[in-house]
Formats: sequence, structure tokens, C-alpha cells
Amino acid sequence: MTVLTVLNLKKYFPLQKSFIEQLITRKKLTVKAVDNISFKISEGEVFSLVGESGCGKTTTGRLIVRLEKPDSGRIVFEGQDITFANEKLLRPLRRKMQIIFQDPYASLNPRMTVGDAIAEPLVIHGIMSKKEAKEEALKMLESVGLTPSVTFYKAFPHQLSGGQRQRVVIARAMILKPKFIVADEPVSMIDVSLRASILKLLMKFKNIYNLTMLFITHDLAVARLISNTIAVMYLGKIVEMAPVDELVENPLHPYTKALLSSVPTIVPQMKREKVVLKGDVPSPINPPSGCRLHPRCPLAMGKCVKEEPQLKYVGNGHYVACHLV
Amino acid sequence: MTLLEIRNLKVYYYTRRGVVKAVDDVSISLDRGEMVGLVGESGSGKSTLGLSIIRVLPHQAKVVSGSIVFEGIDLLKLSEKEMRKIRGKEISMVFQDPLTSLDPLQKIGDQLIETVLEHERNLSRKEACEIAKKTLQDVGIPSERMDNYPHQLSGGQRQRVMIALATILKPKLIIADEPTTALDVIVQDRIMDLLASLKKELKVTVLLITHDLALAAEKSDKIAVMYAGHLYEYGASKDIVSKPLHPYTQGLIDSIPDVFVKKEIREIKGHPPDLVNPPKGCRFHPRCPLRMDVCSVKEPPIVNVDGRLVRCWLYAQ
Repeated sequence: MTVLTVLNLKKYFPLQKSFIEQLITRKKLTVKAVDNISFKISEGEVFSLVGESGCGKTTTGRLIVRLEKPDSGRIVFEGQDITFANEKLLRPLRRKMQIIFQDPYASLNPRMTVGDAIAEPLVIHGIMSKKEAKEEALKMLESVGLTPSVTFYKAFPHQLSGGQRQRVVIARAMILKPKFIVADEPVSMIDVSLRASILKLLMKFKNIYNLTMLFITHDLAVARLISNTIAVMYLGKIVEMAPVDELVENPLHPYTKALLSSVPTIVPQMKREKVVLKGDVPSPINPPSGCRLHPRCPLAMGKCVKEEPQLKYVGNGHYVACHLV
Repeated sequence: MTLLEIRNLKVYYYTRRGVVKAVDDVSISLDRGEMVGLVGESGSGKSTLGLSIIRVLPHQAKVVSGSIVFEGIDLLKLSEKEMRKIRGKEISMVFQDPLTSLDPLQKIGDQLIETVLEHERNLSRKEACEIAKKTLQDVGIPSERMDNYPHQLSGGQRQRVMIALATILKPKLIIADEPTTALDVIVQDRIMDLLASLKKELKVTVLLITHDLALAAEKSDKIAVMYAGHLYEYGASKDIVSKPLHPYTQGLIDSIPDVFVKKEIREIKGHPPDLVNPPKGCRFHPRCPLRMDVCSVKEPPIVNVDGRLVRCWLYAQ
């Protein structure tokens, strides 16, 4: 069953022009953060968006939980079109979709005890009384491994380590028993030896509640571990999308190949030929014509400059946007 | 041939909370022309070790004992004036964040030229300018960029400028402290390739300080693993990755996912210790799955197992 459908989603951010620019040009400058992307996530699936900074993966996540308003396209969650839904309509849906942010230092109120922060969503949504919510929060603290839960309930965020804070953030997201979670780089600020435990905690909840997850990461190794499907983004576009093993073992897009050949690994002998891209990622304000990778792609042809490649189905659940395929 | 030999180094931070034993009795030697990956989590003492070699420790930190012998000279015995001649010229450093380590108000060309003139007083500005241009080209930046300010460059380009600054005087040792942590993977890979090729061309020794075991495994010749101020394992990269001896190294390898390997990950239970009051005996023992009675009583000695150094009771007699 499909939980989330995203269709031709677009989000352009207008740029502030300087005073002189306003005088000399009428043209509006925009950053094409998310440019016409489509995908589906089925129930219980972990769908990863991977890409470098600035590729639009975080914006996509924020659009889906409607922290940002899309410019156009459609977002359908459990059969309900929420693309332009107003706050009043979104409220009940927020119970079902939660987001976990990257920085556990910035996503907790420093003046609120950890326990109150976890209990708050239950009270806000009018699900329980304050007292019941406290009981529930204590239970949740146990299940994210913050024991003794009574002590942790009264702790303030600054008394906890980064890993513990991220557990609190996960607990707060899970207390409403959501169906769908957006996890935006949940482990990139956590120390290496503790990352595994946070990832395992997310997997535990995923299995218990049959959660559907949109996992946003720049780390292909983490994506390989946690996801069923990976979509690779470049400059606001999805360039390749496939089941995880298929994508890693049979990458077809030159950008995916370049990414995979750059990821450090403890088994370098498993690496395929190196694909080297020229230059740096261009500005998303004025992205290249045709295929956005063409100025950097070692295999670019004349067609790539003029015509934008569409995502094509090539079998095995594998989609690629490249003229070569 | 040994270039740098650190013996029984202890570096402590004197804080209001007490004495933090950041580097505690670490001995390591680096050979000429090799890249050594110094791997550890935050707080393991890896950066402090790097800073103490080039003697730019923050004021709360003190070298308590030990020696750092570089080409036969104990750096810890040099005066600040003598050390200035070595810093940059013989040993240089690349930091994680190029934006805070480059002067924002000076053109990158001028920063390079100034570095040359500081150490080579008999050169003219014109000669120094030529050297600067050449070095920039070597790190893959066109010499027209000489007139740019740091903010006009991308993150990867800035890190290239940092590397140009670190190599312009042809040092014998480069300490690179998380040089690619702030960069995306593709840029990271290119910067690492650049470091590797400079290492080959200039026969320079590189100490790569990183939290990323996979990066160290792939790019460096040897790996040194630090935990809680101690050096726990040191040996050839491929041996360490294929057959780790220390339980902490094993734990690290098991805890990191890898894009090319389908595996379950296992976490290392517990947390790194507080270094004001580290555990007695082996500092890893509270988290170690293979701990024995002796581990919580006595510090393990360093043992040589087939050319690999490991500090663990499992291998000591």
C-alpha cells in the first residue's frame, strides 16, 4: 500500500536582490531547491534521499511534512492531498507524520525537562491528561534506552550527551505512534561508536510500528544499511532511484557512479572504476541547461546540453534520468 | 626510516573540573613518506596529539612528560623562536575548517607569498610570487585565483589553498586534522587524492587525523587507533581492517556501516569515559566484551604482535 505519493513537486526560493540589482533588473532570481520530483513510498518502506549538500534533499523532507509550502506538484499522504492544506487541516495529520532533525542540540527546548518535552505532544493533541502523558513519557524513555527513566525525565537537555539528546528527539517523535517519519540526517552529528545504537533504535521502532520512513542522508553507507530504496538527488532533481542493492551493485547514472566511487570503504577492492566529475557543483540559482550534470559529466553528449533527460524505467525497480541509458 | 618519534607523551588539560588526561603515555613513530591515519572518536586525544607535535596547544594544556623527536631533535626542548623556524617550514598543518584558518581580509596569493617570505628571507617578492603560483597550480587552482579572497572560493577550493599553504615550503611532515570532514564525499575524495599525490611527489609524511576509519583504511598506509587518551593499536591499514586485534578496533569496525558490504552493525555498549577520572586499568575495560579480571586492575602493556603494536591484556603474557 502506498503511504506517500509525491508528484512533480517543485519549490523555488526567491533570492533577495541587492538595491542596485533591483534597479537594473526586473528578473526574479530563484534557487531551484526542488525541481519537479516524483516518487512513492509504500507502507513499511524506508526510502532514502541521498546527495551532496544543496541538492534539495532536506527541502524535500520539509515540504512533505509541510513545514514549507510547495510551489506546485502534489503530495498525497494516505490518500489525502496535503499539497496546499492549511494548518487546520494539517493538525490531525501531524500526529501521523513526524520529523527528526539533524541537530539534537537545536531541536530541544533548553528550558524544558526532557520528560516534559516528550509528553508535550500528547497533551497538545489532546490525547491524554498531563498525568497520563507523564506515565507514557516514562515508558517511552525506557524504550529509547534512557534509564532510569525517572532520573532522565527530570533532566534538562544540556545535561545530556549528543547521543542521549537524539534519543530524546526520537522518543518525542515516536510518542504519538506516527505512521510516517522523516529522519533528516539523524546520525550525522553523533559520534561514530554511538551512531550504530541510534540507527538500531530507529530500526527497532520501524519494526515494532511498521513505520514508513523518509530517510535523508549524505552518507551512502548509512543509506545502504537502513533503506529499502534509494533515490539520488543532484541540484534539485532525482537522477536515479532503485532498490538499495540494485543501486549499489548496478549504478547507471554517472553521478551515482561518481558518488559510489568516492565513498570511503574498508573494502576498497570492491570499488568499481573511478568516475571523476569535472569542477564543483554549480549554483542552483542558474542551473545548467539540459541534464544538470552535463558540464561535469565525463560522458556528456550534444543531446545532454539541450534536452533534459526524464526518469526512465529500466527494470528491477530501477529508474534513471540519463540519455546514455 | 623514522622521521618522527613520540615517546611516552603525556598532555594534560588543566580545567576547573580537574585535570583532563587527553593524551596519556602515547608512543608512536612515523616513517618518512608514509601516510598514517590517526583514528579516534571526539575526545580520544587525537587532535591534542597533533597540536602537541607542532606545539600550538591551547593555554590550558601542558605537556607533562615525554619527548617528540623530529629528525633527531626533541621539539619539546626547543625555544619558541627555534620552533617558529620548524613550524610551516619543516612541519605544517591543515585544519578542518579552511574558512577560519585563512585570513578573510587578505588575498590568497598574498597569504601564500607572505608564508614564503617569512621563512625564506633572501627571496624577492617576485620570486615568492612565482613559487606561490606554482604551488597553487600543483593543488589544482589556476594562478588567476591569486587575487581572490577566501570567501570567493568554494569549500573544496579553500581546502586546496590550505594544502598549498601547508606544502609551499616543502615540509617533511604535514599534520592534517580532519581535512575533509566539512566537505561532501566527491570533494573529499579529490582532496584525499591530492594529499596522496603530494605525498608521493614531495615524499612528505602525512599524519591524517580523522574520525572516519573507512577513510583512513582506504587512504593511509598505517592506522593508529586512539581511545580515551591512549594509543591502543598501530599497524598496517589493511591488516588492521582485515584482522583487528584490539577489541575496541574490532568494535569500531563492527559499528560502522559500509556501502559495499551488507552487514549487521553492532554498537559498542556504553560511553567513552570522562578523562578527568578515567577508569583504572585499561580505559576500554568497562565497554569491552572480552574483559578479564586483570583489565580493571592494571594498565595493559604495549605488545608487538607480528609487527603490529597493540595495548591489550589479551596479547600480553
